[in-house]
Amino acid sequence: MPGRRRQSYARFLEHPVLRAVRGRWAFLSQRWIEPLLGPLTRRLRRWGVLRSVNRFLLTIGDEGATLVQLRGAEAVDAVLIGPETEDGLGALRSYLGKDPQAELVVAADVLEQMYREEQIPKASRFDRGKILERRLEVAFPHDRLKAVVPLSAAKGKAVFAALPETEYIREWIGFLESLSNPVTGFCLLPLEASDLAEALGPSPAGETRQIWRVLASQQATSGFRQIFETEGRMVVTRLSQRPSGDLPAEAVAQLIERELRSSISYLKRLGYSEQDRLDLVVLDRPEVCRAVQERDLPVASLTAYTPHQAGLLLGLGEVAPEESGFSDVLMAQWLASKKRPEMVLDTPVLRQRSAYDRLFRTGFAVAAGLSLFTIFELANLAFDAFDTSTTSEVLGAQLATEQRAAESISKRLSSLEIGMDDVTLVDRTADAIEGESFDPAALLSAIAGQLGDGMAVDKLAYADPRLAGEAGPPQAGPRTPKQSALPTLTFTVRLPASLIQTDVQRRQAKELRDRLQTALPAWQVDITRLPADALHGQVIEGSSTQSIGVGTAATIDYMLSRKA
Amino acid sequence: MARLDIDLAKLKELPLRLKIVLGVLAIELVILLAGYLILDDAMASRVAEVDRLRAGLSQLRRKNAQLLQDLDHYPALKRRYDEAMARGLGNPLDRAGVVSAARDWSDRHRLTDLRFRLMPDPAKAAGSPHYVVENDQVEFEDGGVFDSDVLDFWNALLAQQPGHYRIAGFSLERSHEVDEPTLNSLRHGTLTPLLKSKIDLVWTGIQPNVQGGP
Repeated sequence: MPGRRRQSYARFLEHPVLRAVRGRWAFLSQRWIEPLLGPLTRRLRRWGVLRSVNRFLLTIGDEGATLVQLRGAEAVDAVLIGPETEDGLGALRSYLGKDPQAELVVAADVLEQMYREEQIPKASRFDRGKILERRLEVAFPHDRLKAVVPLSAAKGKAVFAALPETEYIREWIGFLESLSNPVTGFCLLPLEASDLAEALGPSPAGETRQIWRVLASQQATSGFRQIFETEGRMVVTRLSQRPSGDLPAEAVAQLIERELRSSISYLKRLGYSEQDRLDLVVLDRPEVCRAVQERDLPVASLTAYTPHQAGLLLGLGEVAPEESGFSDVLMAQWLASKKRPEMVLDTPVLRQRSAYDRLFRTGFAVAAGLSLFTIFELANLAFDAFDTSTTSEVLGAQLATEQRAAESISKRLSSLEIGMDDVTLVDRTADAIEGESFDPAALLSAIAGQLGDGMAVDKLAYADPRLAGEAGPPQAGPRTPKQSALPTLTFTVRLPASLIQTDVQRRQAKELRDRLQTALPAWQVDITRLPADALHGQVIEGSSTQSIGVGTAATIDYMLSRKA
Repeated sequence: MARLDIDLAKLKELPLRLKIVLGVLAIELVILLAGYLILDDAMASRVAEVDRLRAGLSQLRRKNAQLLQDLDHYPALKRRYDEAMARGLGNPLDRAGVVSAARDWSDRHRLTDLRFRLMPDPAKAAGSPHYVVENDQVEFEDGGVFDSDVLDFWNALLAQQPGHYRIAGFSLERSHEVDEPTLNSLRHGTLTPLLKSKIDLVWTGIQPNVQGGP
């Protein structure tokens, strides 16, 4: 997290409203939630399902180790194991044994650390892992503690790092592998603290030059450490012997200047030039900070803080006494404040333990989820069984009631004077006869009334398809419904013989159709055949005293269809 | 088929708590699977039984509602039944009477060449416990001078037994032109038919079935 954002976040956390909310939440949690969930969470922590509220951060240097105990984000205790400490590892073991479920994060701040930045060829996401692994093997073939991380800041590049397994480190590995605490390590302190300089001494906005930053700090367990960073990546780190405690502040400042100038000459080989901007952040005793500020250093800006001030500025709380110049706890807390370490160089045993831990927690969560699902499903099935059983009973009772009602109705029906079926049959038959009866004389009279002068009906035929097959010998099987077929009446009208113009004949034919349609609204009137043209293919004969006659008079066919 | 190789030695090396969790997971999966296989089928049959009861109940309710509705309508139906029977719907077809009357009306309406046909067996259309509907086919063909005579003849036929007859079809066709020889023969009292007619009737009656009347 960049420094400005971290500071804003720290100020936000200290807002009075948020403090009041936190206080209220703490009260509620202590009063209600803790008594209810406390025993459960304690048990889950004991089983290893939940991580302990405590975390340990072990920084291993060449001159000892620092163990910092954190509760949440707050450091509650710190132990320094120096080379002169008797049974240092035993003391650490007993300290860690107080909370064996607490995670232990190990950071190495030893002299021998190897870094290599390499360009990675373009490859698919699946192949990239294999390529990185192969490159790592090539880069550090004899080292067991090694890792590679692609650089997000520099696209296509990756940092390869290894921690040579010296006798000293091997002793620590044996110790760590014998612990029951879940161990995350080894992290590399310079890599993890490379963004600390930017957080403490941000560069002014609008800077166009390339910015290089260097963090100079002292650790009790290792020595005087310089970490150079540019464009969000560590480019080089140097560890030199820690100046003696009784050395005057001016001498320490002089040492810092000398080491810095020495490092800059090396940095130039990595791309640094005089035109670039170099920001220096020094973490040391108050008097050293003052002495450094008085010196003429080859940097664009100088920021000097005591570790105490830096801790407060970064929102990490009090990480050291005001007069102390050691940054061990500050570095540990900075690492602890990260979501995850930049890089972890673990041994197969630690890796396997970590994998088992993850597998156990995941398995437990899945098992718990599956248990809940099983319980839910069983409850659901039980409810369904109860529901179907109850519904069956209710439906059975209702069915019995309906059957009793049916029997009662049947009794009433059987007691009728004439059976319901007989009455219905007679009624339907009478209805059918009534509905299909009609007066042919009335229909024919209506048609005759619409005929024009000289017109006559030559022939007509009426058929009711509904009654076709009603009579005659009994037929087996179901009868086909004929409701869709309605009665039709076809007839042929003869026009006056004197009428020979086809257009006049046709007009009269249509006029007759219109008159019939008006007179017989219950019928659909259609012309099925119009008179043909009489002037072609026919003999026309006559005289001045006789009307013109043709071989046969023109006829028109009509069809009346009963409307549904 | 791929072989499932389980390295028992590696399994034994797993931490105890991990083995317990994996065991619990396996047991839960077995319980779930068995539960689904056994209980799901049992539940499906129970649900099917409920559906069957529900469908039966619904059908019985509809039937009862229909029967109750019929009972409510019974007085009106009975009244119509009485009226239909009073009109003679239950009378049998007097085959000889129909033919005799047709002959009589044919002469009365100056029709010639009367031909008739009554089918030997009636068709049984529908039935009830005590009745059966019978349909007899009756056909008349004749010739005439005037269409009004034919229509009068048909009206007389239909009026003979109202409520029984339905017209399945009829036809009228001019068979002869009104020319001078025809008019002369008419003047001399000779009936020369000018048209042909035909009518097909369906005589419907309600008759007691084999078991007897109500």
